[in-house]
Amino acid sequence: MRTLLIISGKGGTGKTTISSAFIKVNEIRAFADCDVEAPNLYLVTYPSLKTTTKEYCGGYKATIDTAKCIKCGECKDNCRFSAITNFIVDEYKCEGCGLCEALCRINAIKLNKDVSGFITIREEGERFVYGSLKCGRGNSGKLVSTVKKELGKLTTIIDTVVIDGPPGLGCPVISAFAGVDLALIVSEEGKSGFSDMCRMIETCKLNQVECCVLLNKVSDNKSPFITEVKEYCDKMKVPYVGQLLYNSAIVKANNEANSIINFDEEMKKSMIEVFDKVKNILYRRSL
Amino acid sequence: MKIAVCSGKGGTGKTFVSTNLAKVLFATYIDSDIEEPNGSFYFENLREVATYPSYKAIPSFDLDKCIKCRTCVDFCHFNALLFIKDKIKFFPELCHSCMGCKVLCKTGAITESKERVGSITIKTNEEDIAIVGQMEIGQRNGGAIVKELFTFTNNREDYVIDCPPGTGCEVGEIIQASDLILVVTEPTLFGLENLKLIVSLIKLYKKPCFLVVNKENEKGYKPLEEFANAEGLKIVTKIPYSVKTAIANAKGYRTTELKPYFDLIKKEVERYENLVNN
Repeated sequence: MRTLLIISGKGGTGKTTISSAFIKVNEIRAFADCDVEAPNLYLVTYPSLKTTTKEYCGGYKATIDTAKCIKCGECKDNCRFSAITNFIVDEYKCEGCGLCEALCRINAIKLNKDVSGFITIREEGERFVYGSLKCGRGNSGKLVSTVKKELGKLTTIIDTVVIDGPPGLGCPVISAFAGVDLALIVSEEGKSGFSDMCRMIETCKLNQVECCVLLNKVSDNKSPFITEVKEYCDKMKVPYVGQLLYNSAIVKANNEANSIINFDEEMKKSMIEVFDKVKNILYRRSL
Repeated sequence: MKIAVCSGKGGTGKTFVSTNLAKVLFATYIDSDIEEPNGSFYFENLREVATYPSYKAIPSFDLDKCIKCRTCVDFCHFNALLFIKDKIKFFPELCHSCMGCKVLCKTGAITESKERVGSITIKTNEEDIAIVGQMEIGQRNGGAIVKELFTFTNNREDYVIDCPPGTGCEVGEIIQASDLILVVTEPTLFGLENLKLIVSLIKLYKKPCFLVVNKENEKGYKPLEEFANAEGLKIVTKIPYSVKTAIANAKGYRTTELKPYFDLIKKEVERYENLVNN
């Protein structure tokens, strides 16, 4: 089994569009959406499948029993998150470290498990798992790990697993790296896309994750950005798998909860070409 | 006034809107998208004035004083401390800087120390000021940098704060520390889905907010209008998608052609400011 992770650094470069197309073209039977703060893959993949949803507890939140509290202030003075005002805990500031509970002399503070998100599993021939973090909650990296663990509970033998990753390069992305064989970095034309791609490649190298680059939303095939990206990839010894042209039909396809591959033959052809290169790297076939 | 520009979904145009809005408002631009700060690309000839390292608090251990009572290891809820072969092992990437280990240590073997997680850079040209937070590659959590960015603000001047994508705790903290929220969305199924999430986050903090639709196409996207109507959210302006803008934006140019759209946003911000002041 090989696991492909699709990431970008910058948001909105087309991670989910590429993921859903890859899943459909290659008939992938196990996949996950690890963009837990903004999960969208479920909107465009098999919306009719039966689903089960479980609560996810990412940590703890403290509560103060006001009847017991003697207002000594020990909890407030030691809280590094400024989560306690007037002897009430702000659940959005509390990180669940438990120091207030440990310090309270009269045991007026309790730590309670906090439901900080949900995990949804769709299974009907395919196994699709996605996580959704409750708004304003932290610990998204832990939810990413839980989603991946859930995806790993496979009952049949699967050759390729696809993970639609989160944006950025912090905690959730690093959690998404675990057990991944190849990271496909979806970049886009432009200074921002380029800068984020560079930061992403460095993050992959630091975490010893093999990666390759796809340039999306290119204005035309002669764009100087292509050469710039290719040269950078060569320098970093990262394979460049190709580019996809900007296509306004993608918005139309997505808005109808469909995939671009059913809308545009030309686009489908270029996608398959790029995907084949990605698969060759994923399976270490010689190019 | 502090105006936070957020979106939920990535790539809707937060940086595009923030940098252009800062320009028309003559406001200081703050880049709080610390994992991928790109706002500086949109100001011409910026030069660095000052850079401040940004730290997070971590414990430091004096093993001679340690009596191996395990209090700290048993306490740490984030599994950042382990006892391996009778010695404390500390994993800084898991540490949330609560300093509970230090507070609870009976022998004073633990002191507070710090680890660099990123930096804050002040940049300027003749007209604009940009305050840019940047997380170091390989770090997991830049929350400390985001918090520190707000220490560079005061209550007199105007700031446009370019937020990270998503709807997590960092975005929540920025929303809480801001006066007015501007949500940049796009007329797509994905844009709407994540708009719903960010609006529910803004509601939690009871902050005033309005919408800017970016990359508008001729047909529009009806479900977005319906959602805005149902929620009573004002769409201040719709910035049309054009290949020309996209290319200019990709190269880091700020477009003068689109100024009328930003003037509309400016008017709305000023209308709100007057409302609050009176």
